[in-house]
Amino acid sequence: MQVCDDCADIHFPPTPVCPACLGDHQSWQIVSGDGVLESWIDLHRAYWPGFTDDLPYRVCIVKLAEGPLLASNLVGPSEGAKLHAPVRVIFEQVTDEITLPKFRLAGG
Amino acid sequence: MQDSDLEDFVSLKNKIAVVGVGNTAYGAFPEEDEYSLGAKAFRNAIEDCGLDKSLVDGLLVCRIPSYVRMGEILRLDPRWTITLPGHGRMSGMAIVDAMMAIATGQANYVALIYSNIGRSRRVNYGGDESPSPWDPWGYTSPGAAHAMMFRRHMELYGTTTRQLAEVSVAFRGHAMLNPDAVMKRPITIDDHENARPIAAPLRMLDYCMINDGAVCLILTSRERARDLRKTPVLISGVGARDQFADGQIPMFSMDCRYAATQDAGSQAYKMAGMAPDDIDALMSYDNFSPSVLFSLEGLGFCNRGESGPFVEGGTLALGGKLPTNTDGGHLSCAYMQGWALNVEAVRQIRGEGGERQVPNCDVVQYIQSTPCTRSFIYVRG
Repeated sequence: MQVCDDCADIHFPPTPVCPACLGDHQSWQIVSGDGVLESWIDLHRAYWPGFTDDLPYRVCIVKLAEGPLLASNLVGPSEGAKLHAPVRVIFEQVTDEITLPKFRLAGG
Repeated sequence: MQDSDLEDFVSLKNKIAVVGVGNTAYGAFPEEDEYSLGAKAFRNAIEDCGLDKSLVDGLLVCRIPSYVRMGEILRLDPRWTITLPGHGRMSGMAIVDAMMAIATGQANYVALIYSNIGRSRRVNYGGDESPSPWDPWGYTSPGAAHAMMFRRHMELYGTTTRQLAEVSVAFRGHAMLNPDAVMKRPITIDDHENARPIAAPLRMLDYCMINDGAVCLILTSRERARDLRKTPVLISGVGARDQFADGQIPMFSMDCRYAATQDAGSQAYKMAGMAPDDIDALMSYDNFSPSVLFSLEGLGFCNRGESGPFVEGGTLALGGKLPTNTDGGHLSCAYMQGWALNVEAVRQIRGEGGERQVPNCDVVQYIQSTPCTRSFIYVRG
């Protein structure tokens, strides 16, 4: 996550200046990968051909323990999906160059 | 007008009138373009109010590529011109801008022209046409954002999709009474439940249409309005609140826009000196059916979290407690991005609703609960 060196505001997607103090000095911080489920849906329509074989696929919104919201995919068993359920990041290697952070229900 | 009035927007209460409204047919018109549709809507609005078009000295175009070409086609030389993009929130912003132009003497008669050829151009909302940082996860489209918000509402308050269906069913019923509406086939709550899922929990019948058409409104001062053909409809209350700071996930709002809608609604009620009980009909921006539930809560027609039970049993239908989107709305009349809802507000107050007329309709509220939330309260002049 991007974090402001001056006021410690943490945010994502990255911004050219700190949204809180408008400062220029920002760096990247490794975060815990823990969060809670804020919402989830199942997409039954493919807006890109690459998703056609995955239909329906589950997209989620996660609030990281550090604060920022992320949109991602909820993968693995999801019977226990409910608002504010704890989730934990996994990293899925999509290609040799691209790895996507996705989330599983914690303890699931 | 005194100098102090310029600093006090609330002093514009009941001073600006909508005098002319016009629209084209709605549907698929591949032989048309933005200008031909816009010109026809303008022509209809001019005819509606009986204004000499050479007096139009303010021009606002929305979703129209060139204001110059539009002005050339209509043979206008305005003193005040603005162009706005085709986002589904510009109708509210445009009307506020037009009020200010009239109040400050920048223009006497403002024509607001909105034109949409999105159906024939096969505009897609989502995918590469609206890129975001979340595309790699397949999270895209305004519908997905509204599905995310509705899921939160289900989880937090126990709202059901059968309750949500009340919105689509009521508006379809209105569309069946509106000669201009596109969708005329009756639907039931079960039809809604059985519709094709798109971004579950939302289904096809929770989504607005995409269609072609154009809308025009002509505004002027209350004094000038008296010389025109129809009973003027006055803007009695205005409220506004944008919500950009937490926009990291496009169109998604953690509180389902409750705070912004409550803020904008409170401003409008305060300016008009009214409360939800005074509203005879509501025009609620319905890009997706959940937006209507969120609007009802933010404005205070029901308590927060209680919009599901509130809409049960036909509350939003003609004859119900709060007739809403009496033209059929975006869900069943036409996707005119709020513009046609403002026209419908005017027609209801004039008593021009025909089969869909709300009896004794004196006060109509417009709400767009969107990243740029706006609300108006219209009254008879």
